[in-house]
Amino acid sequence: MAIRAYKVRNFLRKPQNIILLVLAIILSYLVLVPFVYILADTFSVHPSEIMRIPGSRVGDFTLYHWSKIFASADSYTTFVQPLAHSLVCALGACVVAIGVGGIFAWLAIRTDMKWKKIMTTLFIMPYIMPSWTLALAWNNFFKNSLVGGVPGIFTAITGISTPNWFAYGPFPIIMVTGLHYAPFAYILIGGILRNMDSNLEEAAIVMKTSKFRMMFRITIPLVTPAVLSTFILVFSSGMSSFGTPQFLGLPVKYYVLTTQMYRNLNGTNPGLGYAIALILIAISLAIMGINQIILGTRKSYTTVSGKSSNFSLMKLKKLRMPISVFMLIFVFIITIVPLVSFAIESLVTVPGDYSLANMSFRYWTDSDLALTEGVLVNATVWRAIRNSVLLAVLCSVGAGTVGCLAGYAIVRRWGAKLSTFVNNLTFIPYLIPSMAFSAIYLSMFAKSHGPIPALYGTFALLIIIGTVKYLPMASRSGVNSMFQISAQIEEAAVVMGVPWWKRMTQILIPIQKASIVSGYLLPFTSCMRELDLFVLLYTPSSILLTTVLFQYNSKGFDQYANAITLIIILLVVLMNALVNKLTGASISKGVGG
Amino acid sequence: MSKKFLVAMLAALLAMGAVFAGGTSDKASQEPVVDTTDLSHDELVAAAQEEGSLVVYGVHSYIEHACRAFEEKYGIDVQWTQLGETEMISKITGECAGKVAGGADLVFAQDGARIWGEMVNQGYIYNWTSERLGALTGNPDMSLSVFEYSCKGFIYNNELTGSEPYLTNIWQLTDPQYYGLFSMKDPYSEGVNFNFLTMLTTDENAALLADAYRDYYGKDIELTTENAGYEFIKMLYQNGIVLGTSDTKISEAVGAKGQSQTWVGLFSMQRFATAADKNLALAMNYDMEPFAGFYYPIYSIIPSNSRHINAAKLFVEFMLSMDGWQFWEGNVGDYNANRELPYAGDVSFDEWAEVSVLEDMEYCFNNRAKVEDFIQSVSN
Amino acid sequence: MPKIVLKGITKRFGKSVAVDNLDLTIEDGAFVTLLGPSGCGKTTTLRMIAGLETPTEGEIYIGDNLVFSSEKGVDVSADKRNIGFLFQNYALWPHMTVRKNITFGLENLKWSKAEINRRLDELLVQMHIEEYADRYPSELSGGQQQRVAIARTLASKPALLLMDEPLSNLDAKLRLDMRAELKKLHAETGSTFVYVTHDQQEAMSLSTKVCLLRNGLLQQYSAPLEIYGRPANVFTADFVGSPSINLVDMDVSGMSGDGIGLKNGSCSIVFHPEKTADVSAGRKVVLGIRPEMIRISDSGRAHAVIDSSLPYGMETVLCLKLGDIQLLVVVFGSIDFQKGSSESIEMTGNGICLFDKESGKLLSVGSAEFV
Repeated sequence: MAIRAYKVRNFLRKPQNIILLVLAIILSYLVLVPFVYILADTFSVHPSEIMRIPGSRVGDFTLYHWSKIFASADSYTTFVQPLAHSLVCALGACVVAIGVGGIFAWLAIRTDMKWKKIMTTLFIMPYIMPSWTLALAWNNFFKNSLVGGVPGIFTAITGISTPNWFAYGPFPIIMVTGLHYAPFAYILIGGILRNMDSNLEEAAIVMKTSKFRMMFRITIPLVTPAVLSTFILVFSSGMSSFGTPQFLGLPVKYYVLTTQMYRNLNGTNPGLGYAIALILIAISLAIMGINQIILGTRKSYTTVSGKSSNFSLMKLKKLRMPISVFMLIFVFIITIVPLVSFAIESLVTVPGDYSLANMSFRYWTDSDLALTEGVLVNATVWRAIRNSVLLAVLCSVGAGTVGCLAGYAIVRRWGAKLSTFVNNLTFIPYLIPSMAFSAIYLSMFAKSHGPIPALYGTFALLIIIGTVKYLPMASRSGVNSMFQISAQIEEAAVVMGVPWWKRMTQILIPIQKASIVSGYLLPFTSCMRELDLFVLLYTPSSILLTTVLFQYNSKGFDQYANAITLIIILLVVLMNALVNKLTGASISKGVGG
Repeated sequence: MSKKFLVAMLAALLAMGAVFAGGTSDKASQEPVVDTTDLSHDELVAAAQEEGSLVVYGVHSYIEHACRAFEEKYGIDVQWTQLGETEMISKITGECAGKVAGGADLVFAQDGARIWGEMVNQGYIYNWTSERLGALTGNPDMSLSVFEYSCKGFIYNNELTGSEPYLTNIWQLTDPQYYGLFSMKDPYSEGVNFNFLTMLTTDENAALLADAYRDYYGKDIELTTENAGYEFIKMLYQNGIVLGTSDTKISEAVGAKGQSQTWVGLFSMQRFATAADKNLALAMNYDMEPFAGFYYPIYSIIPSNSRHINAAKLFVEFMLSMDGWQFWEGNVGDYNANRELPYAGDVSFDEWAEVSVLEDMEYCFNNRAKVEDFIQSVSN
Repeated sequence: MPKIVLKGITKRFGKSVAVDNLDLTIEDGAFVTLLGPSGCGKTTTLRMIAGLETPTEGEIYIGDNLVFSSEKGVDVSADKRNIGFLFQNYALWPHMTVRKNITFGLENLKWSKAEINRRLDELLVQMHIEEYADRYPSELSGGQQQRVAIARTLASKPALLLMDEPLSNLDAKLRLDMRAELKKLHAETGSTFVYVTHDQQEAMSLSTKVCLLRNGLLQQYSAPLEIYGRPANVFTADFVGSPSINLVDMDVSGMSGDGIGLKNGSCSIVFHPEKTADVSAGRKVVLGIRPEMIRISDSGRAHAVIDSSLPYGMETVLCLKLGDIQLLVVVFGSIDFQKGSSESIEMTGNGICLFDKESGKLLSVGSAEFV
């Protein structure tokens, strides 16, 4: 007994063990137990389903939801078709993201294209902006009268009415999602291109291989792993994105799994919504599994990232000017133009009339409007701004700190079962689509359970879910940064009796400052622009900017919605610039790391 | 990770889940307690001011103005939030189930089917009576007090139609020659529309639809579904229906001038109020067969979770008076439950009730799921 | 000044055993090297002494203090063992200047400012790094970094200094200089040094005692020359010495007088053990002959063919073929031998080792001659 007590005492003397133990317990509750709840929810009758399931009472066991998905006459419309739509949109987005991002990466890194600096800075922007901003911008430009509302700017200028397929449904969803994730492809593929040993290509030049051939035979195979990672990331993000298909798909009844889940969860068949949530999680897990297998068999490729980067830039020659101009315009169109469109749309008084006489700041500053007060004099908006900033700060502090500690503990006990377990736990939230995750928390925290109070409706619940959901980003950067510091650096201080907190704050964290700050920055940015994760969970007292936007958008308060979008983007971009100035950390570093 | 470890983890999880999943469950099995204190106006004001503040949720933006007026008149802080109808019900039931502090004290809700199923049936409604306030509406049971009736009508663009009523029969909407020219709000994003479609399937309304069909086509309807109501829904969905996300946008699309075709929309008649401002050409035909639209009550409900009962009651009273109602005064198609208060337009409430469909919350609750599934099956 | 005692120390990582039931006593003021190939458990042993690694079983004493015992549940943490630890990669804190690297630990020990500054100046002078005090580690060369690391380790005047391959990252010339400096440092400080290395020359030249480990098992714990001259087994003999010892498989053919007759093909040798060794005919043995114990001499009775000749200046290493047997021979001076030429050789001295083939254990040391 004495020995066992000593072992426990000895185990607990190491801070990394305490961290792992505490995280294992808390994260099990916050990440694994939810699965039990959601599974139970797919087999039970909810209040709004009593009439749907004849003779049932609330809480009864039922197979209704699953059979509706897989074995009913409605399977096709409730599940198969949305699934097919999701797959089409996600795959299409991958093609667009990799195509656009890859070409841009190649032009920006391997050729003598002009104005690279401004273009690369701008090109990252869509990733910093919320994923649905481009969707709203698309709507501003291309909406047509077929679906309600006046035609967009494009029609107003050219007089050409956009066809439905162009304005709504899979095509714009694919374009918008693809362009949003193109920066991702640029960062990942660009990283490889920048580090690729140009000797490989030079060898080919020496052998008189044509440039074209070289591109296909050498350059492209070498960037395959980066393309694959981009593919996996974009595909899973595309599968789980909600805002864009909601804004662009709904007008033409184009449902994907997430929007289908949302309307059931928020409608009269939540059990079905939970079941779709589970399916979405299963798909994510499968994608990650495939990713692991592919990475496992392709490890040899990682040796490519050599050090030599003294490659010669490819001369675009006659095409230099046209390509540069074209790319500059393109980059402007996907970054600056949407912002301008938000500004314009927020000023237009009578919809569809873009003359200067029709513009005013009434939707910003006028408190005496028929619909609701202008955004800058609107109590709800200010409450939302305060809540959003507070939430983003708290989530980033939460996720950043836990991620940093988790990274430390995981690396110190690397290979131990507990460490592997916690490492996996911190990663699972990444696999759970935001909407599904919030659906689980909705069901889990709706009532009090044992010592845990009902957190629904509290700000705390939003903080918890935000922290857990963004933990993967922070813990990845925590693990990576701790791996880069040799254990001896810390042991040198251990031997001198420097206490643990001092080792963390004076040695480990200062050394990896930039990377740890991005561990805080990523959750902040993501949280500021997050809609999917909070739309089910917020209550009016915890209303957020994004949910106000969602609200106004679905009400058709276009001017307000555009103004709020502009406010959100401004806040995010300003914050990013500020942190970047102060610490040198940046989103692209966090993503590329 | 070893298998043993995994199995142990899983067992622990299941145990944790079982413990927590037990939890508490609120059942509305016992007779609801009814608050019968009927304070005079002055007593109510005093009690409400004692409470000092009020949290109000509602679907309609106009309530915001009433909130400000209420604040001004009684010095009681009102925190107002506008919510979409579907999410509002989810959030209110969540607040009541979790007894969330800072939740709504008073909600202005529509979608009777869900109010019935998810609030009334779950015991999430604060039950109270008042003879004094009941005198205004004709119903002393204030638990599901109606604040106003809101109307949606079949409205068309009259720029090209001339002075004759364009829309005379509801079956025009399913007529292939007008394919893709009808728009309404997606029922999934606003339940009252679902309730209307559900109401079409009652025996009574189905019979009216069947008659109208005969009038339109000169022959009896051939049913491929249960009744003429379902048949109408099916044909409507298969005739290129455009589902919008907001009545505002639909009204703008339907009423925009300079279009080559005549659009029809089913949307809130309030939109007539701003039509001139927005330069829209909108008209409707009250004599349309078999009905010109529908109307639904907007309830002022005090949820069981309310912490400021008296302030909420005072607000209910406020909304049944001209002080609150002034902001609706110019709205065609809105009728206060207090029939003494004025309405806009030429059509009285009784006249409108005559030519339109009223939502029956219990029928809707019992049949909406069936209609939802039916729409799913015909909409793609 | 402490004496370190390890009793039955075992360290297991999962199923693999890194250190197996190690007993070791390190005398006060000694300079002990833990020597062995990579993965032999030497660094693990050092880290267990330091308290950076927890033994699975056993006891460790530093001085009179029990610092670890699995049985009694004692585990004194690293900072309370009064040790200094020099890391292989120096482990300098990259975000601190040289000055700060040295003083950080002292500040933490709550030394007074004046004391810290005095000690800092002392160390900067002692390690010849005064001019780098305000530089960051990345601005220093490998050797300079090493000096800073040593200064940092010495700062708190630990009674016991533990060093984990501190010279392995330096180039050959610098390594020789630092060796001499470390030996001087040992003399100056009078501390007990425990030093891990895989470089047998380093071990031989620095230490008072060498602890040779293999696969977690102690092979031999003796003074360097003892290890060289009387290796406990074939592994030890082979690991120590450069060029390495000639190990020749032989069969015992019988006793001839006080000698033991050995045979391998056409090669016959008589081995004279310093004490009588009990070896019966037919036993398989290994004869260990250091390269310097073979001499090229006209009086030699065996004739070998020169396979290659590597003149180093001070000495020449020859590779000879004696029938099928390969022999390395060191000849003093620079003599150019012709490949293929035949030379007479003989064995000198009484440091020739006889090992049991099966167990690898040393049977006897003695002299030997070709017959």
